[in-house]
Amino acid sequence: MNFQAVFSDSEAVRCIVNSVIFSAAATALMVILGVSAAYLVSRKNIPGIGLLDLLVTLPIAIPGIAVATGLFLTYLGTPLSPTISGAPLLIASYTVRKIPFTVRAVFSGLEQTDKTLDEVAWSVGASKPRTFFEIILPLIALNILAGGMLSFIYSMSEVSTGIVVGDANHRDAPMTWKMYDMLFHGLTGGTFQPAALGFMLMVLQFVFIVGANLLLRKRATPLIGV
Amino acid sequence: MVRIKTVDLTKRFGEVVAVDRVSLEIEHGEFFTLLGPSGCGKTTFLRCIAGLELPDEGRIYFDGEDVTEVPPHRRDTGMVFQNYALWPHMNVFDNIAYGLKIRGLPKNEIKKRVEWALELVKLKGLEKRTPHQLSGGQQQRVALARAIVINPKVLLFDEPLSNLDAKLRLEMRAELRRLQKELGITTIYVTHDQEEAMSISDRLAIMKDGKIMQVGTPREVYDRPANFFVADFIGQSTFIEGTVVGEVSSPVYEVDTSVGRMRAVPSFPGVSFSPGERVILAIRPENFSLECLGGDNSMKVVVHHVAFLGKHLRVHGESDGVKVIAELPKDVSVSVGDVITLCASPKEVLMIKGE
Repeated sequence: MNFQAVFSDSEAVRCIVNSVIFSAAATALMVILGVSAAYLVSRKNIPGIGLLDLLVTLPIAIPGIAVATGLFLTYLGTPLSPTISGAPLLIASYTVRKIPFTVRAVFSGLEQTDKTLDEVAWSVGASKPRTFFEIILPLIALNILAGGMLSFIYSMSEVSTGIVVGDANHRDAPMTWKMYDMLFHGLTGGTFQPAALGFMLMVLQFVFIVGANLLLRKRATPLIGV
Repeated sequence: MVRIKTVDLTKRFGEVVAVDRVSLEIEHGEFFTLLGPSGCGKTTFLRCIAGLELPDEGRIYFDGEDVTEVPPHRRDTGMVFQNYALWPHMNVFDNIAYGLKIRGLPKNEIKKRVEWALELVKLKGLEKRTPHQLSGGQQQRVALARAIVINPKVLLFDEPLSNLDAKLRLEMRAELRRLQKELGITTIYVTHDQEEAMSISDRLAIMKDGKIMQVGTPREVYDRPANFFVADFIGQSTFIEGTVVGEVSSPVYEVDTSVGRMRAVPSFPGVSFSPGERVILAIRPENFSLECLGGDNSMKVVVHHVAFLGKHLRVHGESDGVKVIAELPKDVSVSVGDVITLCASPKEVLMIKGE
């Protein structure tokens, strides 16, 4: 009943679609940036590279609302203003806040992939980029998949930026804003419809987290929570 | 086939000098071994040759061409690691074929060459296996096939046999040697196992703390150790400290020791000693005898332990505070507690500068 009501509410459906698109876009970014960062930290002996590691892990320690208001106030009135489109800020916020999950999973994979595997590939004539794509990438594919899944699902359930940006621009609002909106400004359905949305999100999260854990199993200590 | 030359090669890791001004020349088709205790810099030297480490100073030449800064994938070296380093997501065929695919060889040519390499390492029929379906010995053969299939200029081995059990290690040793001579590829081999180094190499370099202590054939370093480290590291010896009295008849010297006055010769030709100089005398176990000839050194030894080793007896004993190791014929009767007289000809008593 309540699920039917949710899916007949065109704004709710649009918000769900928004969440999926923005989270997917952010996940793509996180995978590209996260794999690069993990590779640099794991394989390159550059002085101060530990800082990069810190930089991509630190967002866990920063309250979401701080990131959200920070982004919102900084870009308000610029071409990236949330009043024009919510997409850039939401994607940026998801990427910054949820990238640690991808980085951690990929980093563990790289650490378990012996560096002599790279070296022996170079010795038979493979360049470094070629070695990365043909030797390393296939070996850490499961870690990337699992890390990406975690980052995606935590982006879907991101609240702080979702509400701040969503309130400024309902058209581009994610489903977490819709739940909040239904709860506090809803005309019908009371708490049941947002609960239905929340339940869907919860099931999805459960599936993704369990899935990521199964994929990683002994390949990494998955980073759960936040 | 290339001739490898290094000039003052130096590599530091922070404060540690892993390779310290090493200059070596390795000939066309030579099987050259770097031998030394762990941490002596032998692996770092090998990695510099492979291009996996960039030296801080010095140059590396392949046939006169400076390759010091050439990246590893353009050096044309085949490398075999201790941990095999097979790519787990590829089967045996693909592991071996990878280097050929990079070189853009046509498919049938790749197939032919992989088959050739598999035959060489006696693994025909295992093409479709994945690395984790192979035993350690088989994995090492795949790693070897992968290195030789690209017909490299240089073969580099980093302790390739140390993960194998003793019996397999001996087999692989002989096989590596046969293969290398068959292919004639210049080879650098790194090991800490002196017996392995002695049995497999044309020449070897003994390293300590990043420095080369001696370069020579196995026979040279065994019979003519240049210093105490080499004498101690290669094979076993009885060491006796002493002070030079003087030269009696070139090249024989007289030396005062705790077991009496002894006659000895310099361990390394051309080295001279002056009276009063502190020296160490080294005697190989097989150079002791129960029968003394005129002019031999003799010492009374209390027997502590007798080991039967099949072709001879190994006797451990003590003579005035000096630990003695001797090999005696297996038919002599010696038992623990006996006092025996051991003799050694002056030319078998090697005189080394004290440290």
